[in-house]
Amino acid sequence: LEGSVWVVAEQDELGLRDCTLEAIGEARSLANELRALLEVVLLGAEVGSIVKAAARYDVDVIHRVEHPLLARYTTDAYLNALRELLREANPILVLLSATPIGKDLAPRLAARLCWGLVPGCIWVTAGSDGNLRLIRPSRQNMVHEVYSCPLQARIVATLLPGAIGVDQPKKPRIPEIRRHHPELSSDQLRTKILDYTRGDPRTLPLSEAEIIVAGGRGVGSREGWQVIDRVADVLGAVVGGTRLALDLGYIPPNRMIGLAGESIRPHLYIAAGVSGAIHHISGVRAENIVAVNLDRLAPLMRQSTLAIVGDLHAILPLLTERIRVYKTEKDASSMEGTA
Amino acid sequence: MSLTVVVCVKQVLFAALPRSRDDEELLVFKDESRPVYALDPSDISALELAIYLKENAGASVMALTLGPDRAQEVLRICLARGTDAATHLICPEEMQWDHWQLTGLVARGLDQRRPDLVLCGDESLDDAWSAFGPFLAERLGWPQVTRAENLELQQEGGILVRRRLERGDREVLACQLPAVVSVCPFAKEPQYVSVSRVMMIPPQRIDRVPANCEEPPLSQLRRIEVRAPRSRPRRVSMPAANLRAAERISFLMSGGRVRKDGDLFEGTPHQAAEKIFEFLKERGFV
Repeated sequence: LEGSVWVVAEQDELGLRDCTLEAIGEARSLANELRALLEVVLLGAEVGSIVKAAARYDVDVIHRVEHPLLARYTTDAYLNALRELLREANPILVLLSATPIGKDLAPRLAARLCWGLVPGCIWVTAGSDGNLRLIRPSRQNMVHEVYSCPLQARIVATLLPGAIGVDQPKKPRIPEIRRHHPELSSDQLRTKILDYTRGDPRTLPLSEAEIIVAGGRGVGSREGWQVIDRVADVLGAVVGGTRLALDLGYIPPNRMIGLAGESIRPHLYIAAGVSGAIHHISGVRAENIVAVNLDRLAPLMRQSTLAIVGDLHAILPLLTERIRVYKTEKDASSMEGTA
Repeated sequence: MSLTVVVCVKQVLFAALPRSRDDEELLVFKDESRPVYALDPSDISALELAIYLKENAGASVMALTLGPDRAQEVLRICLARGTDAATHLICPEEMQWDHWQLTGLVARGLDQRRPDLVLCGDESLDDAWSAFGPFLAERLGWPQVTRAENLELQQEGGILVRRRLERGDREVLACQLPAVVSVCPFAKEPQYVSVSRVMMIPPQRIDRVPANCEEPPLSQLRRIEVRAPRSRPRRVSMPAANLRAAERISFLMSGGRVRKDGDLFEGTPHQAAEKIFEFLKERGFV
């Protein structure tokens, strides 16, 4: 095997984040194409609990980089911890997720190491000419740019979360584990986290929401609106509605979506009982639209990524329950994985 | 001593213009002879934050841009909005410099000004690289804060920055000065600047400095193609034999890593709920 492909992992209280698992899946495919090793870096105060989870994704080497100052992400701490490690390893590609952490760290890392940078990729692969090919959306997703560079060029890239989906876990294998204890001191850190507050979907502005569940006149009644609220709760989504939903008193004025209300750009927009009038849909620029409607000819059904013909009052409670069960199982298995 | 703030702004092509496809299926703007340029939305937020510091903390604010002659239009907007000075680093229209080269030029342009704080947009409307702030911070050897939405000066000399994270989460950071802070789009409500105020700004108020880059690019990375968006092709993959039965079934049902666009589904409520669930799972929303 020649060279290596590295993934810098992100974790939360439940373990490795899905965006990291996506990056590992993409890096695995690339490593297979290039006949290279896949190496994953786990940074934190203590990362033993997520080593097992990472090992399920066909990783060759896991780097455990541990230090109390790595407990929370700060640019200087992560940069100093990774710099020497990467300079020594000299991998073909370092892949991060295009999250607030990845977007902060990747360009600084590239600049520090004097390596190339391609942020926000949706596809990283080996080209037929033997070069690395990276594809990223640009101009508000109106075009795709294709970048190419020789393998010896060294690139730092970020992968857009949700670009490819999470790969299925493989049979657990025992990767090589290397421990690192970087020399960090609090004097090196020029930024300090003073406060962290969790966002509340109920108060989050629509313009900032990443997942929105909306209803329209098809919901039928205020009591019926509870199915929308429940789906939103279980998905951690923000609730919105159409002008008719506002007129019928289902939502307050600041939750109206459309040209006359809020223009939205979420990753996921679930619209139930929304026909998709032009003044509504003109204010929606979502990457994924799921529409549930009894009328298969409703305008929104044609614009959806997934259009479901059916009664929202029958489908949404079942969906809520399905997601709830899945999340409970997932939490249980992640607890099992970390045990 | 008052704070010196430099706000770096960029003129971007207004993307929401009528477009058509050329012979090679590349999206092109219908009227290339009359493109519409605008001040980038995240740079407007950075400008508003700088003006806030001027009005509330007595900071002196300078706007800086790098671009061809047409880019001075954004500096006139900045001056009309209230910046004290404006510098235009003039480069040819067809320049193809990477972020490393651009930030090298800007860092040299900042040398004489010795600012305490550099503000810039976090993610531009056109290429959305989010790299300018971190690259410039590295060039200057300063700390960086990205995705800022508010900024306050501290008594003891640093700044307090509120960062916008995912799903409405917020983080408050204390940061030493000097620093580079990149600001989220729409973080600050922009104040209206009338056309007449912009027109009244004499061009002489803009300090024009020719910029020439002799530094090599950071890497051998080349953009080889710009094309219409295309979904990734279906990856046909079989579940591994060593997976548990439930995992194999789940893998087959989700079709592996597949993107299907424009699906219409009709079935029983259970099937419909399952279909939506698989869709959400496949795309990482649950």
